[in-house]
Amino acid sequence: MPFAFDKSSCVAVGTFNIYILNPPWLGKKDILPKNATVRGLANLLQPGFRYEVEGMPQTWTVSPTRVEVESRSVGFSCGNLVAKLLRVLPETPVFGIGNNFHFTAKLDQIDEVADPVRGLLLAQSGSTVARACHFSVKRDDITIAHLQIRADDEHVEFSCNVHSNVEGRPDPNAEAVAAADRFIDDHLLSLDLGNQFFGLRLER
Amino acid sequence: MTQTLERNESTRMRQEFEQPPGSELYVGRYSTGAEDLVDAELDRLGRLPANWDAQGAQPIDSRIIEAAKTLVRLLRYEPIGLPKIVPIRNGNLQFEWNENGRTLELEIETPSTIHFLKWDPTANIEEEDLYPIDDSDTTKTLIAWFWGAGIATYG
Repeated sequence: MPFAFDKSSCVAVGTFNIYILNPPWLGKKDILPKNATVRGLANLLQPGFRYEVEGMPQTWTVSPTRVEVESRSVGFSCGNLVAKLLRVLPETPVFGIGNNFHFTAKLDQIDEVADPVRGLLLAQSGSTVARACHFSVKRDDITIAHLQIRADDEHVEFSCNVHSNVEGRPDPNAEAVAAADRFIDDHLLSLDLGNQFFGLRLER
Repeated sequence: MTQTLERNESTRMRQEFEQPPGSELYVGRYSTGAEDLVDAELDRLGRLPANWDAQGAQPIDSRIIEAAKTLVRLLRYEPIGLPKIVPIRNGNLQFEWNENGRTLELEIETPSTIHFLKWDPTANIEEEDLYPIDDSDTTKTLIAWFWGAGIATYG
C-alpha cells in the first residue's frame, strides 16, 4: 500500500502586511472566489491570522514574514494561489518559496522503505523516540529539494520541501511566482525523489 | 543565509502544521464579495417606491442608504459575514445577523445613529442601545459578539 498523502503547502517567505491580506481583499483580487465564506482565526503566539475557507480544500496562514496556503486535498495546487497573490504584489519583498508535501504510513509499512534507510529507521538505541534520515538535492541555482523520512513507534512519515531561494536575484518576485507555479511539478518530483532515495510508493 | 533560510523553512514546515491547542482566537466569519453584494442590495432598496409593503411604507431615505454604504466601506476588511439587509417601513433599514438562535440587529435610525439589538435567549442576553454610526469599534465589538469570538479549542 502506498504511503498516504497527508497534506501539502506552498509558503512564500517575505514581508507581508497582515492587515491587508485578508479574505475580502483576496476576494477582490480574484484569489479567493466571490461569495466564499471564510472562518478567521488570530494567532495568539505571534502576529498573524489563519483563514479556513468553508467547503474548499485550502487554509491560509498569514504572518508578517510568510504566507502559507495549505491543503489536505491531493492534487490541489496551493502554489497556484500563492503565485496569484504574488502577481498582485509585485513590489513586495519575497525571499523564498517552499513547496511542501507530506505523506504518512503506519509503522508496519516500514518494510516498503529501501535499505539501508530502513535499517536506520528501525535502529533502537537507549531512549530514542524517533529516527530520521535527510537528503538535500540541488535542482538548479536557486532550488534545493529537502527530503526527510522519519519514523517513531507508530508512524513513518515522508516529507519533501522544494525550496527556491530568490533573495538577491534580478527579479525575485517573478522567480517566486514561477517557483510557486511549479507546485504540481514539485508534487510529482516529490513522488520521484521519495522513490529514488527511499524506495517509497506514494499516493498520487 | 541560504542555508539558514532552508533549515528554518524545513523546521517551520513541521512546526506550523501543528498549532498548539488554544493558541488561536476565533475572530469571526468573512464573506468575500460581501461589500459588492451589500452595495447592490442597498441600491435595490434605495429604489423601493412608496408603499413598497402595500401597507403605506415610506421609501428608504437616501441619506440612510448613503450612511449604510459608508458603514460597510469602513468594515469592508472586517469579518462581518454576509448580513441580511431589511427595509423598515418608516424609511430606515437594518443589518441583521441570525444564527444558532443568536440575533444581532443594527438599525440605521438616522444618518448618524445606530440602534442595536443583541439577543440570545439561551444565554439570557437582550440588550439594546443607541451609538454613533462612526463608532466603528462598537460595531466591530457587536459583530464579534455575534460570531462568538473567543479562544478556539483545537487539538
